[in-house]
Amino acid sequence: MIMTNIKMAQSSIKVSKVRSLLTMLGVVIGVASVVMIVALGEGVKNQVLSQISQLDKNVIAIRPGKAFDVGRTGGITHVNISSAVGTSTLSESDVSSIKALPGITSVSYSAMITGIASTIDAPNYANATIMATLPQNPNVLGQKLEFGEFFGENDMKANTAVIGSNIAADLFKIRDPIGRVMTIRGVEFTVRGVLAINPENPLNIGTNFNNAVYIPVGAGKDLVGNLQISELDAKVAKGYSVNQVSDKIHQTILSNHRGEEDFSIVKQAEYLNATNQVFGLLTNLVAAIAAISLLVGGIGIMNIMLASVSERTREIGVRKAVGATNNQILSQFLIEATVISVFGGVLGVLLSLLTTFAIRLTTTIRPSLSLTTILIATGVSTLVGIIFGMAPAIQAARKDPIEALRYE
Amino acid sequence: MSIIKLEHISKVYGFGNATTLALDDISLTVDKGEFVAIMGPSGSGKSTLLNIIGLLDRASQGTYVLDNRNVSRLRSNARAKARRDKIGFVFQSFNLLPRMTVIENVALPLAYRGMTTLRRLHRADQILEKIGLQSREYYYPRQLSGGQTQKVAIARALVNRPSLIIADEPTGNLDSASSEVIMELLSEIHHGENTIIMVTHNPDLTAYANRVIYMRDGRIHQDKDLKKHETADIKELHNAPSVDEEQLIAVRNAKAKKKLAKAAIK
Repeated sequence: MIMTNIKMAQSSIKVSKVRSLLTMLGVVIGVASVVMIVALGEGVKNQVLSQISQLDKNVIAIRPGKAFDVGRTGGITHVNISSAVGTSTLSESDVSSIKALPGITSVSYSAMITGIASTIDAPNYANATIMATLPQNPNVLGQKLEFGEFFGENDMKANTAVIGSNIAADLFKIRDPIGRVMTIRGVEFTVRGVLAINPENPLNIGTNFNNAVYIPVGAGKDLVGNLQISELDAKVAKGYSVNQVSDKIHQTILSNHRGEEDFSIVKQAEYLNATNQVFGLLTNLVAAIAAISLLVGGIGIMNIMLASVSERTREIGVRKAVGATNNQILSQFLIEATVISVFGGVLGVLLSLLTTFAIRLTTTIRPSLSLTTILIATGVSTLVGIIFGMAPAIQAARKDPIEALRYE
Repeated sequence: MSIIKLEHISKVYGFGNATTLALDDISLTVDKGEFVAIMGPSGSGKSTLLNIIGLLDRASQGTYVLDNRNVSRLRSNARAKARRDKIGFVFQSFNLLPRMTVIENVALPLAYRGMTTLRRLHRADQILEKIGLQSREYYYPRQLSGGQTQKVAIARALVNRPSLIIADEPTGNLDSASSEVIMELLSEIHHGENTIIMVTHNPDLTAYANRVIYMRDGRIHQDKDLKKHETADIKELHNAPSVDEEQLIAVRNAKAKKKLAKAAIK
């Protein structure tokens, strides 16, 4: 009987193709948008997470200023913008006292230098993030070089630079511009090395190392005078607990700063966790908004099914006269609504496959479409058909056969 | 053997002061193999009686025994199943489903019995062959003439081998040539031991029936046996004094007993 009903539903969909397609459209758009948004959210999240997990688990980052207060409930109570843009609270004496702590293999820091890096070919290039740093930097952050080498202890005052792959491509139009010259604040710097390509994400949370221009700390001081340390990184030795060492660092800097907690300590695990949560929350929120369109699609199905039931009153009368029970009529119309919505759901999934593929081709976003998402989406669209097909089906089943047969 | 036995059937429409008595205490027995024509002016209760006999409707009062089963108090689902198993309908406006082919239309009642598609189509094919429409099996109803359409509807009524065929003005939408074809077909079916109850306005059609029931104001006004090819005279039926149904049934029963006795002697 169910197979017969499905066949009947197929034939009645075939008879009014345009109408059935329009009816499905709501579900198609609903399913497609939910699947697409979840795929985008998951994709971006994975990309950001993979960039974060590039950072070594054993690296502790110290940032100047206290970016936010955490209340008793664990929520953020105040956000302080000055921590990101003001004069740094970290100094070189902090660097040397951390270096002296047990369980630390090496320490490095980077100081942002405002300015542009330019060549004759690209005189107004604004994409470079110029940072003064120590020779230990690649070791601490686990950075690898594609070409050339990083500057050493003897080059601290040399006008030399190590650049990210994007800078090489944009400023010099080649991958290995070793020995070529760029200008920063009117001073010429010679390229000594090119960093290996780092994974990028569309949001670029944190520093994009592909856009980095590293110059030695001494040269940086000659350029701008006083350096503002924007991040201090310490690598924890093997066999030491990251948490314990980070507590030690906390105490040390606290005493350096006469008990004022004007800095923040960031560990990779916490960062990962927070990012994961934030992105998960955002994705769910937007998916929930998109799910409203699924609801609208369901109402569309209900509307058309109601119209179809009253249009086919006579058919219902005939079916009842030849012996269809109320339940048989009910299941016929319910199955018809469900077939429409399931078909819409499948079309929606196909549409989302196409759009995510197009996004993958044209942008840097890498949407990730999981089987679970697809299964849930089709399941939900089936449910939509059953829920919104119920009212019309009940109406059909309750029709009085005599009146239905008289209906013109 | 009676196939239909109605006892003191009444049907009331409406509530409170606005009630109409559509059927007023009707008693009627129809034997197996009879071809009964029901006639009467509009509003006399023919359709209501037909709906109750066809189990599309339920009487307000009285007992209805169909094929030795009391069906007077059945609920709508049970009535649907009884219709499916016992009754075939032929309508004035054919009522084939326009989006199904001829053979699918004929097979439709079997679907509600849960029969497999293959067996359903096989049975429908057999019936269509019998009535000579096998070549039109995959046509749609709109591609057929009126007479052919009604033939298909009759095939649909026959497909579940019903104990009773109910025809509501089966020739009402047909020209006289097609009417004759349809009535010949019904007559043929009647001779094949089928019971037919037909409502009609056309007195000529009573020539095919062996009994005529004339209704007036929700009551059976006249109930008359007809000889072969005899047509009922409407005026005479209308103006004759009303019969006493109880008495009539008693007389019929006596006749039936005599017949049985004769058969026994032979």
